[in-house]
Amino acid sequence: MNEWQMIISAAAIIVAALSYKLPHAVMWIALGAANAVACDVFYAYGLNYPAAFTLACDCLVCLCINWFATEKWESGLFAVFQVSALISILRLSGILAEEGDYLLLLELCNYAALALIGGTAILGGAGDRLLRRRWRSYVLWAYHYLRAPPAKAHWWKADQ
Amino acid sequence: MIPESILIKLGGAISGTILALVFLPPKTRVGFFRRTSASMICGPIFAPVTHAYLGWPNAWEHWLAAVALTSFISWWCMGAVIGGARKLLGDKAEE
Repeated sequence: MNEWQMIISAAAIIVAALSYKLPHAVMWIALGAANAVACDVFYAYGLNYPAAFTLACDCLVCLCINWFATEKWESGLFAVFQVSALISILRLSGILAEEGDYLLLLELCNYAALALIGGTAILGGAGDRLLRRRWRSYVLWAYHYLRAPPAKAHWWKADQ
Repeated sequence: MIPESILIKLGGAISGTILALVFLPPKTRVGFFRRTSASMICGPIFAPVTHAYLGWPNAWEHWLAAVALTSFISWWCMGAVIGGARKLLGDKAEE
């Protein structure tokens, strides 16, 4: 395990500890971690087309989030994994030629996902007890916005 | 033994459909079935046109990518055509 993997593992554990009360949060962190581990193992074995494997894993995570999401912050998480999949497509198509850039962008996506989950959890906690009265209403507004159901219904529940 | 060309067409069509489902989710169940059938059928059929237009080499990876790309475009086109027709007819139902 290199230093980057250790840092993101520690970040994931901290975010999971912060957001254990948020529904689905620990599940998405575990799924994202499984995704990262599978992609790292694939890459470490030196198999062909690691970007294609990463793309397949990201698509799987996206489909899972799309299927189980019940709140707006989960729609944001879906968008983050869409960007991650897009980065893999750019790598496969050769537009993103440098491997270092590709890995850096994927890492940034992982941190964005963790920031979204942790941020939602922190907003809830902060709105409850940490801040002064004037800021509390803004924090609680943001928290309730993120915890609201998504704007569009799930497509498999709509007939027409 | 399944011929390689069939595997490439099938794999490409399924990959293109899954990518389209991730990046352009449908609005309804009917829209999903309509777009999936268009994507799975038109992807393998029109892939040679995409492959020739892009001028890609004749390797299996490029054929797979061509089928996937064509499936993705077919998915989008099906949604755009049905959505456009509905708009012209004044139907507010979404695709």
